[in-house]
Amino acid sequence: MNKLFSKLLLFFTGFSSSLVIFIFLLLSYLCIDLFNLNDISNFLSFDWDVEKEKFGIATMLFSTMAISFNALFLAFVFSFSICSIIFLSKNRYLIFFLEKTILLMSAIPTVIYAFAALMTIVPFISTYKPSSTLSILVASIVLSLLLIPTMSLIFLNIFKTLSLKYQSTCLNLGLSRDDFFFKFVLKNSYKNMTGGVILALSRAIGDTMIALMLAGNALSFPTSIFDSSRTLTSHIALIFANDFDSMAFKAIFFCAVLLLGSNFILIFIIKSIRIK
Amino acid sequence: MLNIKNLSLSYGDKHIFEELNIEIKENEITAIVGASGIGKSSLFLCINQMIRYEKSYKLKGEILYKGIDLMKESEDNLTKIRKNIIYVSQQPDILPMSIYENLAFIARIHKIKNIDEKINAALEKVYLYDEIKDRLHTDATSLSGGQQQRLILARALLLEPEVLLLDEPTASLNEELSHKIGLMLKEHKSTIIIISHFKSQVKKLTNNVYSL
Repeated sequence: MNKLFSKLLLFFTGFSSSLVIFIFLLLSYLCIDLFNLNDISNFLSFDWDVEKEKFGIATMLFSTMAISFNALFLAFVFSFSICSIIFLSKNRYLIFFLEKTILLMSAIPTVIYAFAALMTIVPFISTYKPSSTLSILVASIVLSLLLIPTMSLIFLNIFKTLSLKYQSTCLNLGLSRDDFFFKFVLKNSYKNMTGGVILALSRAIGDTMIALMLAGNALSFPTSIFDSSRTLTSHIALIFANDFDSMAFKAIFFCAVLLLGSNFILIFIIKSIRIK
Repeated sequence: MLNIKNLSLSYGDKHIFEELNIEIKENEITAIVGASGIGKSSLFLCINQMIRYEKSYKLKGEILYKGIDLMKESEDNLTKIRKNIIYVSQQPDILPMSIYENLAFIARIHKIKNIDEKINAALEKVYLYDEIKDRLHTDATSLSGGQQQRLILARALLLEPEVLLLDEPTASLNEELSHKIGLMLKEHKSTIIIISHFKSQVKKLTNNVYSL
């Protein structure tokens, strides 16, 4: 029975992996035409102008990275703080409240976050910066809310596993709970924490709804976090919804290849960190 | 040094021991013997108050260490006290670090000076130094069960505690090493409490034997 179950698991794992590789190859095949007509510098330029046959996606790539890394930074600060409080606090009610809040946050649909931000964060920022409405800043803040549960649950799991295994040993040797956390747990969990951060980054890069609703989708190169911008994912969604069978439509396959490729690279980094 | 008065422990409805009275004399070895599951290891958890991290336990009585009732002490004070009452468990609870770091990590936290010299001395005391001197920076999990047991004993000795709580300290060692470690403990100048299944084993070390 166990052997059959193992074989079934192996089959489904193999099938899923093959499917991902197939999608990657298909996307690569569908954007081959672009390379026949244009040189690679066209796609890596900052100009997207369909009429002039310019399909540069560097601006979108930059905006994707700007929003993702800003969100990642905010999410890391909050997740780490929340998990540290949960680990170190002696207040059971506070721990219960924070743990349940994280779980609740993970269950909220992305679109709800975006709607709530449109009603609260956008008007708030406009009060202080009237020229800015939908921007990199708004998208980053809301995207960080999406990443906090993912990152927090990974961090908590790492901290709890180490605590379960080594807390008694360390306290027996005269370490305080603070020493145990700051000098043992953190020291021994940074590799797995890095894995969690990279996993959250891949989620940030792949998110579409928040970027589409809150980043503003301007094609111009952003010069500050208050500027509107367009990410690769929202670009794919916008072109896909409005166009079909044109060069612009084919160019979005290149965006998809870049997105999937970046995810492969991130997964590879996680694996190599864990092996080390 | 350490006085246990009318100590009763139970987990839920299960009584582990009742009205236990033990007097531990300073700088002497005291042995506690009894069959498996009778509560010998739990007694150590009571002494260093790690019992507080167990679930649904009930503890009554007094554990006096230099006149201080450990059961009434705050967790902050107990952290300081635990540095002087080190528990060496039967299962070698090594940390996921190198052999050297298993000792140095704790030594650094307790701000021990001349760490390298003291680590070497502690390893020599437990007859481990010659076996591992060339691989001090390798993973501690690569050591055999007996070597791991001596490593955690060395870690305890490094901290120079006033009280050593040893739970079957020679269980994984051969007869020759058990004898050598026994002699070392006899010469070691601190208060030692040993728990063991067999009276005959601890009789070689001390006449202060309590049966649970």
